[in-house]
Amino acid sequence: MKRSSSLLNWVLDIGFLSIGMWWVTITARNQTSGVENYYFNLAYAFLGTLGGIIAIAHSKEWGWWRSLYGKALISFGVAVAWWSLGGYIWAYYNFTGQSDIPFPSNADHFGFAWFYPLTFIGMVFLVKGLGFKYAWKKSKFGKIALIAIPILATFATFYIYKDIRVEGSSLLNFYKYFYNIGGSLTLAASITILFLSKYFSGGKLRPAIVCIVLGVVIQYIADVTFTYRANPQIALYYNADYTDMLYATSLYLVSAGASLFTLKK
Amino acid sequence: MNDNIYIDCIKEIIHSQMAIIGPMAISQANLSHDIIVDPNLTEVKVTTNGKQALNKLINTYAELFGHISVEVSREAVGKALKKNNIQEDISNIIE
Repeated sequence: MKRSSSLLNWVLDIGFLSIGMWWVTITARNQTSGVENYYFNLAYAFLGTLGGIIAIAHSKEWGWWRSLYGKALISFGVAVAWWSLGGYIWAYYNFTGQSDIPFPSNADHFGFAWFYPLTFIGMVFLVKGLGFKYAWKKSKFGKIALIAIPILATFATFYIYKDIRVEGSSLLNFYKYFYNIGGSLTLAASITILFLSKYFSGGKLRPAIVCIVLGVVIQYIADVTFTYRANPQIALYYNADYTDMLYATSLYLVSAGASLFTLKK
Repeated sequence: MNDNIYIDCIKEIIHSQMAIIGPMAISQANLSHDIIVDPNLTEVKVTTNGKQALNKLINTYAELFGHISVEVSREAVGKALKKNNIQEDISNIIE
């Protein structure tokens, strides 16, 4: 299997590499505030939009919405593009001077918060397409992953946040649990897919699946880290923080994984 | 079992695969050379014998999508046999 060498894929790869190098220079200069940091976050939101378009475009090979694989790719593409919408709203708050760290805000309501539900829907299509009903009987690890991961992740979330509660901000308290529990459920579906793809997909699409799953895992890590660091009691987060690089990596991996999801040579 | 039953089984297999992989199910079926399928799956022609064509089709899918496609194909063959009221062990049809 080879990734199609379209111009969009090339722009995505170069874009991600450039963002990575930019982040290194920002971090090396210890620059924790300023317009450049805002632009950095805006830049990787653009990367997400591009990635979403690429993922949706790749569903054509699978008949767009007419097949389970096509539906999965569209769901992943919409998830990534929708996340980017949150990035644009975030940038709007930054550039208009309304807020340096608009969390929680409309960026969450209309953007970021949709990533997990949409990705989860994509995972459900993929799980069905990979033969969940046949594999369920055979994959012992798949069963363990599907049950154990959400339980462990939920306990971990409550453990991390047990002492951090912002009085009077029920929305913030809601989002920190929403991202972490929503993420853990999507993570469980993703890990299950990894086991299923090992036993059932025949290996041809496995690199693509590994890439997408890795993207979801990194998104989960980024969300756990962000909600912790952006909490007013901790206040470690700044624009172009390492959690932003994690988000950029996640968006890139999900998009690149979708573009690998092909049998074209 | 006559070739028409095998054609029904092949149609059912391609139909089931299409739900998972879309139009690629038809292009892969045409690659096997034993089967000619039109893009809308309305007409299926077998150029060799039915059983051989069916098993070659299952192998073509299996090479790309692994064991899942064999399971999907088995279920599709079972469905096609039931539609035709044929009491035949699937393992006699799928090698």
